Amino acid sequence: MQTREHWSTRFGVILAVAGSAVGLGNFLRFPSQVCQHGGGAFMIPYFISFLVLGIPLCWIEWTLGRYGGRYSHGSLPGIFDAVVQRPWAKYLGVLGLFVPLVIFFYYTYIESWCLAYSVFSLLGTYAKARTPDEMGAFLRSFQGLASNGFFSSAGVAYGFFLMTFIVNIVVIYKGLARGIEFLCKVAMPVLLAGGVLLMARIIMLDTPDSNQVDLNVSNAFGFMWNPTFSVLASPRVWLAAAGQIFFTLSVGLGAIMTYASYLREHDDVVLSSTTAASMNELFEVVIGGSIVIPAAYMFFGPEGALATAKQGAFNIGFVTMPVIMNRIPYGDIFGFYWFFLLFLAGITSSISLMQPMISFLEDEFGWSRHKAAVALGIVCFVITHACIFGLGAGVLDEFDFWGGTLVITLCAFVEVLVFLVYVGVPRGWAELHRGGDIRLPGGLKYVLYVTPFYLGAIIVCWAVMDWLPWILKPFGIGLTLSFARQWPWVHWSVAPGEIQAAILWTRAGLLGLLIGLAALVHIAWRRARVRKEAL
Amino acid sequence: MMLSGWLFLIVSWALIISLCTLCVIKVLLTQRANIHAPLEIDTGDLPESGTPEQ
Repeated sequence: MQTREHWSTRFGVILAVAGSAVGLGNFLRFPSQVCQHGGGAFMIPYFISFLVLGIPLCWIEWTLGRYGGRYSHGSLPGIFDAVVQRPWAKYLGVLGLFVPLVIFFYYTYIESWCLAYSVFSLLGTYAKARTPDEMGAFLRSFQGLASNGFFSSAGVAYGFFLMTFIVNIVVIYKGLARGIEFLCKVAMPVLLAGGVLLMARIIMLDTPDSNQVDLNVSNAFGFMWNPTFSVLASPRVWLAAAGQIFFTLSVGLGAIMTYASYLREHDDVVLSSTTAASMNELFEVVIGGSIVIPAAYMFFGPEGALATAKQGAFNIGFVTMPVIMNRIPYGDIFGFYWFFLLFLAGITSSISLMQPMISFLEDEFGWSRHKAAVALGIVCFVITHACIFGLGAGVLDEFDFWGGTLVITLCAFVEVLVFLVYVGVPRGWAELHRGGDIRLPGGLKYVLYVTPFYLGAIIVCWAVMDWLPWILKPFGIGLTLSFARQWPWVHWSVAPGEIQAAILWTRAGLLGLLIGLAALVHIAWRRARVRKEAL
Repeated sequence: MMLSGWLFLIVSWALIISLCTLCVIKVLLTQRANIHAPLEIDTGDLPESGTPEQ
């Protein structure tokens, strides 16, 4: 068996995990969630979720990952097999291969938009689009969804996708220390410096319209942070906070486990995991919270900023921000910084999405990294085309729902259950502190008992309110569900809709991928058994 | 911006920045202690280790 790779420095692994967590959501999703859900009051459920859900999940993933690495397993099938020691456990681990792969298929395409827009900023390509409507038309034209004079086809978008994809594969190909670690050591400080620079630019902005002196920086931050305590009675706000924490820390992906598997047996995980999580929070709350929504408030007023927040992360990033950049002095330079910052945040995340599958092919099939990177690169390149050319039909959204929303949450839940049942909190706590550079207060151990209930409750709420309607929609069933205070506690209404064949085919494809990955796991373990018997 | 808004902003930022700073300082300080000494390999070419290599 070939020797497994290791991180060259301890700070390298911390930056790699923080880079995996810091993504587009830190800069786009977080501020929109805060201003939609009670401003500063949102931080109460946010910090509670961080303590009860986010940090425990990080500890569990780092601990399980390092444990699996001791047995030369870096992906979830092998880690579950080593921990649970039952034949079925490795098949449960297929979720940890499925989720990062599916997200990678569409994430690189979105990442390439950031690279494209950073170049457009310098060249002044989107300078003609002065209003949000015009910028929306520019984006649709760039994506090949509309022909309105900005672009003749999606060829430019495809070119930037090719560049982004090649960069990703090259980094993965170069290996753990020379590829991933090197990139994160360069990208994360640049990301921090760029973020602080943009934040400073927003804070120093003058009131854009001298007739509307209320639209100033102080009120802009007030719009974001003034608390509305009444919203805390709404379960929606608590769900939003838990969702934000869950998705921002990159848990449930399998990426943290894979990264931790390259640690040595007595390397610290307790301090490293807490450092990586706190770095992610720094990028999200301090930097991410100080750019988009304050700027949107100053240029579009409170109604415009709220409407922007409700339109979702992509509109904030690719419609609102370019319009603002068009209106500020040196906007072309700051626009370049903004989109390049998003690109760096994206690439440090996307490379971590490939690593679990690379590790699986290396550890379980004995492939070299180069062979695994090339083979996986070809498969990913082919499947990503479904997202590129099926964007208008909703294929990308479907990938995001199954990979980035539903299965990721179930995968995290399974990880917690495996940790609690087959490792146990006392042994798990001791394993977490093996070689640890800090000792956590013993009381925090009991939080690990609360985490599965907290996550389980969130899963039930999401399943009823969001997932079920989404699953039924392409079958022509328009279901609306909401919670009520009286029996039967759930209100629903059903309306007929159109059957969406493209979405159903996409689901069939994703199911095929899941079955294919399970078959690979089966083959890998059968080959290992045959090898063992031959010895 | 209201006083309560300032309060939430300052407390949130202070919590995160102090946690992150403390962790990074601790990592940097312990990193020095974690540097391992070079392995002591007996090459067999010294007089006290036995017969010198031919």
